[in-house]
Amino acid sequence: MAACGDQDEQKLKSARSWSATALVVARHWEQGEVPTAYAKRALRKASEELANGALPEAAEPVDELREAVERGDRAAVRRLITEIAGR
Amino acid sequence: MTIDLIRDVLDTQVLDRRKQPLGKVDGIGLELREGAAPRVAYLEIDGVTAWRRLGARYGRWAARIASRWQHEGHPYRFRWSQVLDFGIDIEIDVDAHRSPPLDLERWLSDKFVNRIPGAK
Amino acid sequence: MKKILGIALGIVTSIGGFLDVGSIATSAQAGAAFGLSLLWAVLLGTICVIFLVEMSGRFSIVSGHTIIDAIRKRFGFAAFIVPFAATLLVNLLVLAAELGGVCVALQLLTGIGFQLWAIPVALALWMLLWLATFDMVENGAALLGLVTLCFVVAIFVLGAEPVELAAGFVPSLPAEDRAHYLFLVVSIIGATIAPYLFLFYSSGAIEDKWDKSYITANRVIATLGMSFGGLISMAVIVVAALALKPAGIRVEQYEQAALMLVPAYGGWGFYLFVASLAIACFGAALELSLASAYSVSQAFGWNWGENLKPREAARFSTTYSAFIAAAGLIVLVGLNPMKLTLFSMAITALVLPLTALPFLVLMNDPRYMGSHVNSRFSNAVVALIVVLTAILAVVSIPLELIGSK
Repeated sequence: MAACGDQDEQKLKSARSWSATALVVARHWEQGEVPTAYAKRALRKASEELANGALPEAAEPVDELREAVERGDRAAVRRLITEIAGR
Repeated sequence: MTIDLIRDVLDTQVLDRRKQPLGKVDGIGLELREGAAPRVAYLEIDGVTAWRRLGARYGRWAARIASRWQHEGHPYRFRWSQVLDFGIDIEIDVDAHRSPPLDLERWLSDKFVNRIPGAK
Repeated sequence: MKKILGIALGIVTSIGGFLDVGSIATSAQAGAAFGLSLLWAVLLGTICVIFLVEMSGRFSIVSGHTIIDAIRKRFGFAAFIVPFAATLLVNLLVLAAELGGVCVALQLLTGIGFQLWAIPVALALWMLLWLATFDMVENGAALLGLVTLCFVVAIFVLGAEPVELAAGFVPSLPAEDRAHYLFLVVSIIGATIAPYLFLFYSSGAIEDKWDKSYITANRVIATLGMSFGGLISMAVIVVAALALKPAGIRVEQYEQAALMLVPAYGGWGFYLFVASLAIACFGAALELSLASAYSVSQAFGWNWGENLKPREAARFSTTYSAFIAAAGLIVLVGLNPMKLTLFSMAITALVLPLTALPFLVLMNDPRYMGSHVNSRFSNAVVALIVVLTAILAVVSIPLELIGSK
């Protein structure tokens, strides 16, 4: 039983970590510190992990971030970051 | 000088007279003599012999695989009288070039290595 | 003068060649998940590898044998071949992880999936070995590997607390997530004490014809080269702990690890990480392919050597070609590169006694070592670290397998 609780805990940690990853990637992309190809891929990966993990509802904002990165829309990325971070 | 056959000879590296590697001492043949101590008849260089030391079945498998590249002269044997030098390695008075222990080397050269550009 | 230059080159190349996919992945994951608290594991591994590398140099200098050659002779073919085959299989897994590391670096850079890079990267590695002279390639890769020093510099840029750093060197057990912690201890030690490292080193000592006048030089190269190398591994933990952990990022994929140098270097940080990963993994892949082909050749008494053309050593060059092809296929299958890396490192730790313990027996055999046999202290250090790590591996690998489901 303890192991089960432990595993849920791990899943939650992993999901939080992917959510944090998405934010940091977006922030670095917005400042021109990481290439677009990497940012797109990392955000897609983060959204997949979130959708299949403990926090599926967190996948949607990450998808929005990725779409904004794909459009090259820095203003939208900035706005989304403040929105997500505010939650 | 006494030599411990298992400890000092078996599995020792063998070189030819130009110090080219021939293989390892994979087996030792003793000759039993009536009324006298046994004597080393030959030393053997042959992968199949080595695998046979794990068990007969492994020996058969090894022999089946090795038959792809082995020509005549297997298992390859040499006599103690051919030994030129006995130290870290055993040097024997033969020419590795064209000798049976290098059948695999030649087979791989023909089938694979020399067909690829840059092998020089 | 020539000897001093040789020592300097030896130290520099051991530093540049120290990091590989294993140390980058395990250290990044350790720092991000557990902060500085796993530094002691790298220290333990580094101490053990200093002893092992020094021993392997001393062994070849004094006995004139390479390690593999001597283990087969001392224990006989039948006892030798099964552990040897197991070690080769693990080498193959690690080679796949290293190739995967290069492919992941290219994926990070271009966005093109790592599997698509498997064939080009394997081909590039193979062509370098086939066409170029090895010592040039290998020294070149190790010198380029000095780029990994950027992890050490990053500590100063980010500013680490000396007290917290020191605390990381005291072994401890965290309150939660203990199974994964122990698994990381095993993988870190496995990544630090790679058997190919000292097998390769012993072959080098034979090839370069080191005589007894090199005993001190060998000690200096092993001690300085390996400790500075270990320092870079530790630096990766520290940087991950300072840059990723506070942001709440754990390293489950390389996409997350790739962020670790950005806080220290801004826009350069990403590219420095990618370059470090690519160069370290490619250099290790070169060494590993050669070390495996060396071992097989030494086990069966074939021609081997750094600067032989493929035509002069068909069995030797076929062996590394087959190894690289098989490793490329494993990458192509598309296993998660991070998981593949962590498991190959843990399995390395598991099979380490298979090479290290017979080697210790040789180091204590006066017929090989004369008056240069091991001291009791160095026997104890290596045996203790290697055996305890392997026992820990037996326990923690199944736990991790269950936990990651």
